Amino acid sequence: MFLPSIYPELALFCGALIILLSDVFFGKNKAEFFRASYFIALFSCLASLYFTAHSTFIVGSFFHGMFFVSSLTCFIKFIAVILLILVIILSLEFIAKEKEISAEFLALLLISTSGGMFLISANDFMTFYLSLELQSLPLYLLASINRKSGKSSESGMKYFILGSVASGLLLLGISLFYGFSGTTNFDVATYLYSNNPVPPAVILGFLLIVIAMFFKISAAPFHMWTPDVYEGSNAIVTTFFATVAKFIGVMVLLRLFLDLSPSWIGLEKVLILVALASMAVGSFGAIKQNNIKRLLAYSSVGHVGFAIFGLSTLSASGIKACVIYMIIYALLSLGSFGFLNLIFGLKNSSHHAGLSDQSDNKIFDISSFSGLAKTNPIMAAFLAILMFSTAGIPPLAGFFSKFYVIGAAIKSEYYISSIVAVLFSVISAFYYLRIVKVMYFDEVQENQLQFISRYNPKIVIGFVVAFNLLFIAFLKPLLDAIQTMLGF
Amino acid sequence: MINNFSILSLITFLPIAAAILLLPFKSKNPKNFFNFGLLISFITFVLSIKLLLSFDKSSADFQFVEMFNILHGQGFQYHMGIDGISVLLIVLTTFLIPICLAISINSVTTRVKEYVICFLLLEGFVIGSFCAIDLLLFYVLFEAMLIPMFLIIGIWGGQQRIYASYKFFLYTLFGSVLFLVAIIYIYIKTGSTDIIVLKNILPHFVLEHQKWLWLAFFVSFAIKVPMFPFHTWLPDAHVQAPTAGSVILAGILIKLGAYAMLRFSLPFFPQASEYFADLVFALSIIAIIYASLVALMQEDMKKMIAYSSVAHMGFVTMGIFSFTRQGIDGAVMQMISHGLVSAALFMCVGVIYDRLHTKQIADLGGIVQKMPNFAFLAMIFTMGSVGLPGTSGFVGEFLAIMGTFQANKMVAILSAIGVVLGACYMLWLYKRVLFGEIVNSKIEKLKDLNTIEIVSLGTIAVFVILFGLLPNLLLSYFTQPVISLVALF
Repeated sequence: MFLPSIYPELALFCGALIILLSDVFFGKNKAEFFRASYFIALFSCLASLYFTAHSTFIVGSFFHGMFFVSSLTCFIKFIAVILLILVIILSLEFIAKEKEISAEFLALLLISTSGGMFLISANDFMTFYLSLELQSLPLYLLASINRKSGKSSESGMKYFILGSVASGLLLLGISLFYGFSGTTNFDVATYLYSNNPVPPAVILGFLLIVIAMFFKISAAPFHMWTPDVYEGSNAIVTTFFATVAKFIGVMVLLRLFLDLSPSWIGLEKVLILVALASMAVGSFGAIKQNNIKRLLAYSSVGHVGFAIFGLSTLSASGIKACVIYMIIYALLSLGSFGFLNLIFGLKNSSHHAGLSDQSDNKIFDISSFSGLAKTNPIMAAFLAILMFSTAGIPPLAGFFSKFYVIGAAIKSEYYISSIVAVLFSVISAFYYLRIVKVMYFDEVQENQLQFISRYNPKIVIGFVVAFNLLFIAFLKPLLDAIQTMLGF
Repeated sequence: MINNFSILSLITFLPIAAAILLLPFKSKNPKNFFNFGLLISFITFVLSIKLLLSFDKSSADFQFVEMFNILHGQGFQYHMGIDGISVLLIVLTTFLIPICLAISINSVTTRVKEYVICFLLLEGFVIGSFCAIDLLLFYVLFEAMLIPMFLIIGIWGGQQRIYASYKFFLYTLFGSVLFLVAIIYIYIKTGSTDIIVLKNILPHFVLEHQKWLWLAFFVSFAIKVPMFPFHTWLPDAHVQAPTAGSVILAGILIKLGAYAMLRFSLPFFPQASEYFADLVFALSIIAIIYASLVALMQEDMKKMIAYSSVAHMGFVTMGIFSFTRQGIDGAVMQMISHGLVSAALFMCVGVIYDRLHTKQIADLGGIVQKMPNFAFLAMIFTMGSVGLPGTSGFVGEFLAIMGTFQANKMVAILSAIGVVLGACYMLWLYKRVLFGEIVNSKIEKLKDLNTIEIVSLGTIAVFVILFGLLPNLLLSYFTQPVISLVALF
C-alpha cells in the first residue's frame, strides 16, 4: 500500500464527490451553483495534474502488484487530464443551460476519467476489470444525458447493452487467462511466459480481452455502436467520448501489448487486420453520411485504425508513432467535435421566426454549414484548418501523425499494408474536403448557423487550431517527451 | 545555421507572411486588397531578380544554401538552395503571380481578400518547393499548395467547379501519398532526407529497389505533369478554373512535376531511369500525338489549350529521359517557354471571356476587326505555341527533339508529327476565332485591350521573342547543372 501513487486518480474522484455533496447541500440555488461545480471540477483536474507531474518519482508497483506507475503511465494520465480540462471548459455552455444536471454531469466526467486513469495503471486483471467498469458506467449515463430526447436515451441504452456484451467477453477472456495461467497479475504472467511456452487457451483469453478493448475504442468490426451513440448523445458528451475516453482506450491497449509481453504471440496479424478494417470502414462509411456527427464518428473509426496500425508493428518506433498519433488525434477531434459545441442553433434568417437549438439534430446536417465562410469567416476557417489537418495535409499536425505511423510500418517492412493505408487516407480526404466545400463553395442557406457568445470555449478551439498550424514548432519537444517517457 | 542574409527564406515567406497578415483586415474597397497583393508580389519579383543577377552561372552546385535543423539529426531539415534550373522557375513564378493578380482586378469581384490570400500562399509554397533541397520539405510544400489551388478552382471557378476541384485534389493527393511512402522508405534505409546526401547514396541501391522507388516517384510526378494516362484532371481543372487560376496552373504548377523528375528521379535512380526510359518515351509520344488529336476536336478554347499543354509537356518528359545534354536543355527551355506561352494563351482566352462570357469557338469569329492589338499579341503566342523559329517555343522543341534523336530515332520522328499537329490546331483555332466574318452583334461592340492587359500580355510577348532569338540568356543558367546531370549516364 502506498497511497501517494494513486493521488492523481483520487484527486479527480474526490472532486466528483465534493461536487455531488455540495450539490445536495447548497444546490438549491441552481442559477449560480453550476459555476461553483465548474470551478471545483477544474480545480480537482489541476490538482490531479500536479500529482501526475510529481508522481514520476514514484515508479513501481503498489497495492500488492495491482497498481503500476511508470513514466509512461504518468505521461498518458497527464495528457488525459489536459484533455479533460479542455472538455470541461468546452462544456461551460452546456452546464449553464442544463443547470439541474450540471453537478451530475461534471461528476460523471471526473469519475469516468478517474476510472480511465486507474485502468491505465492497472497491473492485474482484477483492477483492470474494475477500473474499466468504473470508466464505462459513467459513459453509459453520459450518453443518455439528454434525458428528454428519444435519440439520446436510445443511444445510451444501445451503448449500455453492447458495452455489457464487451464486458462479458472481457470476463470470459480473463477467466480463460486465469484458468490456464493461474494468475491475473501482469508481472507474474510476464515472468511465467518469458521462459515457458504460452498455452493456446491463454492466447485465446488474451484475444478476447483485446477484443473487448477494440469494442471500447470502436475499432472495426466492433464499431457498430459508434455512429449511433455519437449522433444521439449531446455534442459535449460526444467530444468526451472521442477525446478522453478514446485516448485512454488506445493507450490501455498499448499497455496490454507492451507490458504483458509474450502472451500476445501471433496476435500482430489480428492487429493489422483490425487496423485495415477500421481504415476501410472509416473511409468508406463516412462518404454517404449527411450528419456531421455520424461523419466524424466514422472518421474516428478510421483514425483508431491508423493508431492500431502503428501499434501492430510492435516495435519501438511503432509504439512511439501510436502515442504521437493518439495525442494529435485526440487534440484534433477535440477541435472538430468541440467545434460542434460552439453551435448555438439555426436561425431562420428570412422569417426571424424561430431558433431551433442543439436538441434538434437538424443543425448537425452538413447542409446547415453551407455558406458558413460568408456568414462567419473565422469559424469557417477554424473548421477548414481542422479538416485539412485531419485529412493529413502537410504542414498541419495531422500529416505528421500519419507520417510517423507509416514510417514505423515501413520500417517493419509492412509495404503493401502501408500503401493500402495511405490510399485509404486519400479516400477519407474526400469527405473532409466535402465539409470545406459546403462551407466555402456553396451558397448561404435560409437557415444560418448561430454560434454561442461565450468566449472560453472558442478560445479552446482557437488553441487547438493554433496547435495545428504551428505544429512543426511543437514536434521536437513532443518527440523528446515521448522518447523520455517510453525510455526507448 | 542561418546565413546572414537568407534571401531564399525571404522570398518564400514574404508572400506567406503577407497572406497571414491580410487575414484580419476588412476593406470596403476590394481594390485595396489587390493593390496590397500586387505590392507584395512585386517586391518578391524584385528580390527574385536580385537573386537571378547575383547567381553564379559557372557552378553546378546549390547556391544561397540555408540550413536549419528542425529535428536534430532525425531527418526533416529546413534546407534551402537553388541551382540554375530552379532559379529560372522561381523567377517565372514571381513574374506570373503579379500578372495573375493584375488581370483579375476587373474579373474577380467576390471574396477578393480570400482570392489575394490564396494567390500569395500559392506563390510562397511554389517558391519554397523550388528552393527545397530536402525531400520531406519539398513534399510538405508540394502538398500544401493543393489547399490554395483547391480553393481557387472551387470558389472562383465556372459551372462545374466543384467536380473539377475535387478531381484535381484527389488525383494529386493519390499520386503524392505514393511519393510519401517512397520518401519514408528512403529515410528509413538511409537515415536522411537531404537531397545532397541522397544523391551519393541512392544510386547505389539495387536495381530492384530503385525500380519500385522510381515508380512511386513517377506516378506522383506524372500526375502533376500531367502525362498520359494521368492527364484527365487537367482539362477539367483548366476549363473550370478562373483565368488567373489557369495561368498559374499551366504556367507553374504543372512544371513542378517535370522539375521534380529532373531533381529527384534522374539523380537518385539513374539505372532505374534508364530502365524505364522506353516507358516514358512511349507515354510521351502518346501524350504528344493523342493530346494533339484531341485538341483538334475541342469546341472549348480553354480545353483545347489544356490539351495542347499535355502535348507540350510530352516534349518535356521526352527530352528529360533522352539523358542527353540537348534533350534536357530543351526540356528545361520548353518548361519556361511553355510557362510563358500557355499562361499568355489562357490570358487571351480570359480577355475574350471577360468581354463575351463564352469560351466556345463556335460563338466567335472576326475579332481581329475589332481588336487589332489583341490579334497581334495572340498571333505571337500562337506562333510561340506552334514552335515557329524566332520564338522560345522553337528552341525548346528543337533541342528536345534533337536530344531524343540521339537516344531513339523512332521516338524523335514520331514526336515531329506532334509538331505538325500542333501547328494544325493552333492555326485553325486562330483562324476560327480571330479571322472570318463577325458572327454576332456582341462582337461588334468589342473594345480592344486595356492598359493592364496590354502591359501584361506585351511583356510576356517580348520575352517569348527575346528567348527565341537569344536562347543563351536562359541556357547559360542551366548549362552546368545539366552537364552534371548528364554525366550520371
